Amino acid sequence: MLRFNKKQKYICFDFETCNLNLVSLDNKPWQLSYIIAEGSKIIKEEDYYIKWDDLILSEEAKKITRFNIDKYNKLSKDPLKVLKKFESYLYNKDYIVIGQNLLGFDVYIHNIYRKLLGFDSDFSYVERIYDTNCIAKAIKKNLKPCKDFIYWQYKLNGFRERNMRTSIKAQLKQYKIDFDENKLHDSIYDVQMNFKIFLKQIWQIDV
Amino acid sequence: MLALFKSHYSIGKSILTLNHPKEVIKGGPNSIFKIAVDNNLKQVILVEDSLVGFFQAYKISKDLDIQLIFGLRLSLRNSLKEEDENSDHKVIIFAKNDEGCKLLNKIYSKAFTEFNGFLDYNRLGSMWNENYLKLAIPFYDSFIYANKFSFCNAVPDFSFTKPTFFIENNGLAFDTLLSNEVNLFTESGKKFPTQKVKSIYYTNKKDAEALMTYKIICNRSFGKNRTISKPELEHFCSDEFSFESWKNKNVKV
Repeated sequence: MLRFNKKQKYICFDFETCNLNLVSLDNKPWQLSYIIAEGSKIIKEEDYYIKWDDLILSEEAKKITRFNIDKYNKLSKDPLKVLKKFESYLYNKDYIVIGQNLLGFDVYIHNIYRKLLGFDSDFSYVERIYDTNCIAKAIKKNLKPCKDFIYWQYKLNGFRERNMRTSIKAQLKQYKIDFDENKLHDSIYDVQMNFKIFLKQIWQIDV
Repeated sequence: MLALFKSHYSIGKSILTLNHPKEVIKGGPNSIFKIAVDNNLKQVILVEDSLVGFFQAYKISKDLDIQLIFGLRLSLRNSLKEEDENSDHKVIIFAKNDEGCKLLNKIYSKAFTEFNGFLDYNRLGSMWNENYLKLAIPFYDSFIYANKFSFCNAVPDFSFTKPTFFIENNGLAFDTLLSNEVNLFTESGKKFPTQKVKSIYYTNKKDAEALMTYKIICNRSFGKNRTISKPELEHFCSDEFSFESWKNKNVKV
């Protein structure tokens, strides 16, 4: 079980994007953050602003992410270099891939990222995903994981129930993890908090 | 790879019409038959959620001398009992000939006048005639998809026919997973035949946004402010449900 496996390698990632459209190449991922960890120990934290010449953010995205154009222009880096480094972990089968709502959002944003650089879709890492949003729903409904873990998560991904709160903010409150609400939706802060949530989840569910 | 067209008569699913090519105007919605004529297709396979467009499709295909193969996508359940409500999944019933079209109409009428738009395997089996009909299992929303990707408990009964299982690849994150499951069930085509297909809902890849807009309109509800920036359409992440994509992978018709 993961809770006892101190050698297990993890990548926990999150994108910030221009909007919530999953198919449009205009919805560019402009921030990518990830944590590399072994057991509960964080080995590395990476936070990248991704350089695109024609970035158009929706007003809602600007507000939620507190997008700062000067910071973006100053810090943004070559998209290809950022992607290559990220994918060196993502496609490494030694790593479990963690994130909040990866199955419903971030896997498709990563796909847009690949398409923008002329690469074909490659979802081969999806089977190694542990989606903290799906796991949170299972914990709330007291469901035990199935042998086909990825399918089980997909079932939960599509599961909706009124008043069921499984956002990062709701889970941080639930687990009594100290957090700064003003920093949420900055992807580096989100992955830091998300990994803390995951470390709590693995003590609540047998994975 | 077979092209499976769907028209706007399947509400909220497609932006293609069944209009005669002569009626298609520049800047307006495109027609499946205009696509067929422009690309010298001798055959159109139409898979619809209802029979509403059937007669129009029949008349125009006859006028254009295009073979029409019509399939009805129908909901099936394990039984009609209330406890089997969560076994809902889709099958496609193709008419093989004129008699098949008549029988399809009877099946459709039974499902929609007696049972709220669905049947169970028992009733479908009792109406089945292998000389007139062909059963196919769609890639998305089949019993395999429903059982694996939702909390559904569908138990199919193929004692009355041997269906063909469709396999698609449209760049969805779970396409490979689902393909593997179809191959597992069909024993890679040994137990049940499989067929690569592509569902087509719009002409060109760039038209995916038009379908998204149409879906947003069809799915509108109080308290939800859906836009192109925030469509809230689960797994609407591909522009591959286009004739352009099919043509690129399937130059020989």
